[in-house]
Amino acid sequence: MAQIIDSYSETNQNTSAADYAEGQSFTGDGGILNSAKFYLKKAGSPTGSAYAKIYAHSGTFGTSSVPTGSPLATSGAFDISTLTTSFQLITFTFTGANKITLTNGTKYIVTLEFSGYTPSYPNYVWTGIDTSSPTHGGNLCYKDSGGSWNAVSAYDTCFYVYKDDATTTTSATTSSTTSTSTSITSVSTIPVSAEKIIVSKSGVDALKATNPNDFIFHSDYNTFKIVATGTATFAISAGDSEVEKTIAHGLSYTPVVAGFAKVVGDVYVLSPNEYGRTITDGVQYLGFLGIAADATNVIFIFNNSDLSAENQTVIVRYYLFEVPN
Amino acid sequence: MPQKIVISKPGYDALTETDPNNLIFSSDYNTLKYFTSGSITLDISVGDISLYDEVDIVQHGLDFNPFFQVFVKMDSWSVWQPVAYWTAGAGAYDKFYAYVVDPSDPTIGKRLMVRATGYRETADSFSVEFRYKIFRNNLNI
Repeated sequence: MAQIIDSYSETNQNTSAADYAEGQSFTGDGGILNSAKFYLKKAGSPTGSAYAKIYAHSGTFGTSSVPTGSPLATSGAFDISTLTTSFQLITFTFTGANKITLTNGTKYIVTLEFSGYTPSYPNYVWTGIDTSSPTHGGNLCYKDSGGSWNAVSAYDTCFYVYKDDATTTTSATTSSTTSTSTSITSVSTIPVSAEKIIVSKSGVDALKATNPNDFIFHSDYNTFKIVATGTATFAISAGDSEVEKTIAHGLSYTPVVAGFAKVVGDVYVLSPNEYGRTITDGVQYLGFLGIAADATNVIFIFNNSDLSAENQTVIVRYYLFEVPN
Repeated sequence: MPQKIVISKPGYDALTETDPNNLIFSSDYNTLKYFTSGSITLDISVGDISLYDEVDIVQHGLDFNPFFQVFVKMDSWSVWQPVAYWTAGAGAYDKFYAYVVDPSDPTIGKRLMVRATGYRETADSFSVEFRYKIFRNNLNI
């Protein structure tokens, strides 16, 4: 969903204008141009196409703003014969190279221009404007029959300029082992309540998917963060029953922990098991009974009390996570 | 100074917040990266006064021992339990395990194995479904 960069609501409209082109100065905010709207109706049977265009700004903003240079962006065409005789907000969409970035704080002009149409009795395209007590910071401008732009400081055009939603549509594959290195040259803050960062799986539309399984990353969902990880090696003696082995985790709080263990020389890596599994010689069990953490240590519990148990060396990997609240 | 990518929850300042719970994402912290996921169902028939022991595998193909998480549900349950899990009742018990197998083993490596073992005093037939997640995080053990 697009978001408004700048606007002056149609609820302010008190009259209308039918010039060779209309425009309004406004201020960019750093967003990517998505679309523009004007409040339009027709009289008679005008034919031709209408376009919204973005220009660089010339003059004093709010007083003598007029376009300068060639259009920076031009929307797709709108068939003006389809207008009704009642005012409607008409959307003009920018695509491809016309989706320019409107620099934050920079002044621009958005215009309504025509192809195949000139205003003449009885066929007109009327643009909603406010001549009563306009409050927008910019000003209306219009193109006359000679092709010159003129500013009217006391009038505003009803308009909207929209930017793309900040959703990232980056697509990534879960099976790629290619890594990319990105150099970060600036730090900015984006309110998550307004913007989203989405990385979808390959083949999934980040803008439409709703299943969390289809997202590599989604800023609507928290991630379970690993705050520390490590390995340790323990000697487990034959006959040890529910023996505890510890390693200091170095955190100042009690973390959540997960872990895995294997007997050195064995090929099986275990998550905690109530009983264990047959190790290499096939005749004895070494149980990885559990893993826990207190404020100081990660605690591993092993059982090596099978009747034919031998001394074993066990290597473990543990992960410490943030504590859910 | 090293740069960071931090996404905070609404209402928290990404530049100053230190509680990881209040950060949607922070490049200071690693996360578990999915590699693959799926399910395995074991259909088990056990006779009177008998033990059972059923194993199945997932060939993940990774060249390292990956972090994994497995959940289990018997067809008579309405909940998923994390593996390892065991349960016991009158005349019966069930145990559910999961392992990964070292990729260096040429015969059985690069696998996640799930296992159901147990005992019945009277004959029984049931199914056990495992749901697994295998991650790209290398255990390095």
